[in-house]
Amino acid sequence: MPYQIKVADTDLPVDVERNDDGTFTFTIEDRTYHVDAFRMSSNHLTASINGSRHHFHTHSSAGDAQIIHKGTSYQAEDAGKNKRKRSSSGPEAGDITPPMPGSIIRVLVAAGDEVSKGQELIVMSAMKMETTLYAPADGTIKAVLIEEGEQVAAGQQLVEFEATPQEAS
Amino acid sequence: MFRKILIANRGEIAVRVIRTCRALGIPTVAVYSEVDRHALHVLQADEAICIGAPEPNESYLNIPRIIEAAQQAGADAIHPGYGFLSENATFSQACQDANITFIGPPPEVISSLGDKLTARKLMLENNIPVTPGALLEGDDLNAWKQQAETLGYPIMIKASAGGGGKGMRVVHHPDEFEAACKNAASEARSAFGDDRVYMEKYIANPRHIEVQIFADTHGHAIHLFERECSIQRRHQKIIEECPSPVIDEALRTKMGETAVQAALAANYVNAGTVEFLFDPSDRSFYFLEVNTRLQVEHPITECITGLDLVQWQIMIASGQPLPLSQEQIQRDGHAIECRLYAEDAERQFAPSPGTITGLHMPTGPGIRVDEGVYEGAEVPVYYDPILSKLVCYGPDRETTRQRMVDALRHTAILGLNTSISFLIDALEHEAFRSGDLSTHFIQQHMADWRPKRDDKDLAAIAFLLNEYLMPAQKSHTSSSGDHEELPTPWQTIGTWRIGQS
Repeated sequence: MPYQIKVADTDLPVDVERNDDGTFTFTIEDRTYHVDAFRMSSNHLTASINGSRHHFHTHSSAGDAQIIHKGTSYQAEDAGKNKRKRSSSGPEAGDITPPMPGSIIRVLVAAGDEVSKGQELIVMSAMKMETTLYAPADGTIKAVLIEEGEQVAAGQQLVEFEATPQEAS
Repeated sequence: MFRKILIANRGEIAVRVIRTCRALGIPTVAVYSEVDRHALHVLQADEAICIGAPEPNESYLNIPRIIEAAQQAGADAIHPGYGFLSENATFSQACQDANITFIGPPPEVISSLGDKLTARKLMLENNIPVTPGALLEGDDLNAWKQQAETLGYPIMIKASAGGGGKGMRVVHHPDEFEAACKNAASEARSAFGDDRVYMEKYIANPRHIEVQIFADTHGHAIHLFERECSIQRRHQKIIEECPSPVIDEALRTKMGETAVQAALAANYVNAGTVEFLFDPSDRSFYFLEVNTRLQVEHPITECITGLDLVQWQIMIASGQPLPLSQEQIQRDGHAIECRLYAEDAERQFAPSPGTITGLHMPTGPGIRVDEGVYEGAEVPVYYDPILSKLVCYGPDRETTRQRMVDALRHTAILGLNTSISFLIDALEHEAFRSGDLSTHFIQQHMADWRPKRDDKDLAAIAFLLNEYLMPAQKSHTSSSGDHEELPTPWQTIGTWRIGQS
């Protein structure tokens, strides 16, 4: 059964074959893996892969999965399956959004301000740390959508920002 | 001894304190904010009392409410843990006024040492070396700038009431000075309710070495050797070890004696830590500050001395003398602690709150886990994102380092980002192996760090195994709506049976 698995932003073509003895044969490009796997708990899998023992801790939600192997975390998804349902309404590059929920401490710009790339726009506080949000490019602040002291969610749009079109050089 | 101890804290340190109380047979009272109703410390204590809204000012920093909770529960002592009110003289005073023992120093000691400026003056008077610096008083920015010029850039702005890197800024250039002062002061105000800041000469490539001290109410003070905490991000320690690989026996004795001298000068009582900056270029050391509380990294000292520091705190608070003399304190082996934070090491260590959907901690000889969470626990956005601490110890540094790397590889915390793979790479770095540390270690060696993620094939295999080997309790009907147009292997693979032969 062929799959297209996206692991940490790399698409891997994976073919899975279930053998009669319950083991699996995985083929990824020109690499073949003989896999004897067992689920130890709802989030813990172990497998002998080409004779080496591996442990994986997994959590999946909405088609994506987090996989931890030897302390390293991977995000993985079935790219073929998820392609159709991917929304196009996520935050766009250049939006000024907080990386985490928190509260706004200071707003350093006002609507109509011309700002340059890297200029400090907003100082917010989350988990007792202050974080500064910077202008992603030269541009204009069209509107400020929040006030000082306001609680904001991760990904919430804080200002309307329009980048100055780049002149071709 | 105390009838009942209230722990005015949360997370792993509250759980840690409860453990010792349990060993001593003392009942415990947890306090919690509304968002922490099901936090691990609440579930471990004998009793628990809600003290308010999630915002720290409404709950874990709410002195009247905490005192009231202690009275309500009949607790005759309060352990403050670290952070929150642990270094708050007003709180220590409020406990005294309510006839409750504060397990820590008396208020006057906290105010003189907790205020870094007063502490610097005290140390200078007692011939303890301090870094050159200046106080920023009043609003005269130009006067501040002049002082900075006198000291010479780069300089460090620090919160007078500070700790843990909060309200701290390095200034390399006069242009950054004003913004750095304002940000440091504003961060200090929100973290400590005190926006006074001061500046210090910035020492290039220093090592952070601190000495654990203990003093009793009978005028005795001793030290429990040093800890090296040079591996820091955002001025906050993430890997600590003891003994320090750079300290020899003569220097160890000298630093220990200096720390004890500092304790006696301050009329210190209970557990404290004297922090020094060590300048490897000339092997000199400078007094930085005294942390008037139990440190996050106290377990590594416990590992090499075999002592329970929380037990000592409780004994001293109840008026008993120090149980051992300096000559009786022995150390053996090497210990390393890694702090496991909910944070994203790929994005400047941004906090990563969320739900822990899976938790697997390592076990084995020489491994200690101070846990603050459990599988299913929520990590709220309101507090410091430390989850747990992993401590390893062994006969020597290299054995311990390898043990820690292996332990981290066997640690899995699902549902949020953690720094685990970053910690592994830091411990495996040649500079760490050789003990060549500095507080700039991360900037110098790991600034552009990204996880290697070189086992992508294995991760892809695990992803599919996770779908093929569905947990027994998970049925088709339980899958959520957004799965409906996504055929699972159960739907596409046809009829088969586990164990079919």
